[in-house]
Amino acid sequence: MSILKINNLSVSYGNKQVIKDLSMNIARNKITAIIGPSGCGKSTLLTSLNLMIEENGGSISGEILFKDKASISYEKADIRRMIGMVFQTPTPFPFSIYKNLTYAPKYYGIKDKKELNRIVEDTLKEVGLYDEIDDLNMLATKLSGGQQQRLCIGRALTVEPEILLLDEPCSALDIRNTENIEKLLLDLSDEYTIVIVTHNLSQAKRISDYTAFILDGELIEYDTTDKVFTNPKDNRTREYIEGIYG
Amino acid sequence: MNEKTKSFLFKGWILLSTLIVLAIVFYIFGYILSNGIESINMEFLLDGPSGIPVGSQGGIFPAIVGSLLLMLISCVFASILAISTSIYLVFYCESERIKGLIHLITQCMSGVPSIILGLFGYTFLVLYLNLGRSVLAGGLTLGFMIYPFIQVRVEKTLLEVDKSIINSSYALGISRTYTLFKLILPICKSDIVSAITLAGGFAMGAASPIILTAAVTFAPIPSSLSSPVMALPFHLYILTGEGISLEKAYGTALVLILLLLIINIISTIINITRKEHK
Ligand SMILES: Nc1ncnc2c1ncn2[C@@H]1O[C@H](COP(=O)(O)OP(=O)(O)OP(=O)(O)O)[C@@H](O)[C@H]1O
Ligand SMILES: [Mg+2]
Repeated sequence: MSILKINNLSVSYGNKQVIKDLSMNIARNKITAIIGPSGCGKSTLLTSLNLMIEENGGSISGEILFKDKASISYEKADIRRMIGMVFQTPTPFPFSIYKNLTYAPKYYGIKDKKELNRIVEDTLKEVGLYDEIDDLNMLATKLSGGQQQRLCIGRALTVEPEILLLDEPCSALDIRNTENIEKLLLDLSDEYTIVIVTHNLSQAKRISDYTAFILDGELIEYDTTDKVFTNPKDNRTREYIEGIYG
Repeated sequence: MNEKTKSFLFKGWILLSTLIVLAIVFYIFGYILSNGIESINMEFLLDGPSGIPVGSQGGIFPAIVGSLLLMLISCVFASILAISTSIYLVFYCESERIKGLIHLITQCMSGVPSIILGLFGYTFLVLYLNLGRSVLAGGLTLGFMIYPFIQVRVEKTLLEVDKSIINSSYALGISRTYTLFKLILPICKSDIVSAITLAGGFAMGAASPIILTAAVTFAPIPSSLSSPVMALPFHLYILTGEGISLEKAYGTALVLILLLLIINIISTIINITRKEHK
């Protein structure tokens, strides 16, 4: 059951082609990890999925099917609402925690105070922040890095997406916060489809169901995480996993 | 000379310059204060000028009101234009050539001497648009003067907003307009307010743009936007220039400086409370 089907996707910035004829399917309610050396095009691939690539000046050709319908045939805003994204460094808005979580729901027309309060409470519980926060009016930028990142995940969830894209969400965090987020992602994968770019191979091994290895914009290997890590088919995958490319 | 003496001399030089500047500022302020404080009383603050020649007796109330009005009009006019231009340049304009052109025009505007802006206001607003010598014509002319000042600062503030924060809003499927009004402008609000207040102070202290467009030696509090007004800097200029009353001139100068100080303090307070509430 694939929620996303990527067929012959190519992405370029100007005349520099970064993703080359890449095809892969993303399974629903699973965690898919994307690994590969720096500059191979992981972020580019990820941002193509919710069309954020256009904000960064990239252009795509090929086909991305979201629930069997071409993603460009949706409104761009709808695609982005259904495919949420969390960035590498936490990006809380410099407002209160409450405002961070009501920002998007208000835009989508929820005005009722009770309903908004419910969304805030549910979201905080969902990302495990509920017990850590006593003042909802506290500036979100005053939270710790890990809390900020969980808040950003929560903020993405307030618009009820189906897929969550995460671009190295733990690279700015310490081990304990990383553990928190990994646990959170495992919990969320019951309800959401998760695609995570990571530099951390053991993280991919710990949490993902499938792993894709990308090298120079090409998909080298894509299989269950277990197979990719224990018995890779391609030599380049084996070399990467053994730490040749660093 | 070894490194130690060099750095010692350098530090000494910095300290000395700071002290000199501070001393000059305090001297100016103290001088005006000591000369002007005598003439300040209730009558001076709340009455119109009187005596022969006008201004040798009485107060400066109409000039205070006039200056505040001129500042208000110029700030409203200039900030609407400046904020819109900046938003267009930063978030909507795709063409580098148009951006360059607008930047060039802004730079040229900021380079125009204020007396020439006054002349422009006189020919275009007062005569051609038939606004007459009025608080509106003067306010608009001052607006032209402070427009580049506000525009440059607002554009810089907008550019400083973290791109990844803006992108997180777009990534929620949220429109540019909502992002602009609910995220970007609130983030920049305090900086924009302080740019406008600074510019307002600048406008209130300027005499040359209003000499030909708005200010007169004597007028009551303006009854409409098309009435001429008295203004503090112009009144100061007349009192000294025509040798009417040096004492009243110092009083006027002191009031002008205090008003500017109050405006800046208010803007600082707004900034502080806004930042706490975010
Ligand atoms: N906005 C852009 N404009 C032009 N080129 C870009 C842009 N963003 C990325 N690139 C180029 O595209 C290539 C792939 O970049 P991308 O960010 O997708 O790599 P990545 O795999 O995510 O790397 P990292 O692991 O370092 O984050 C790089 O060579 C990069 O220089
Ligand atoms: Mg990247």
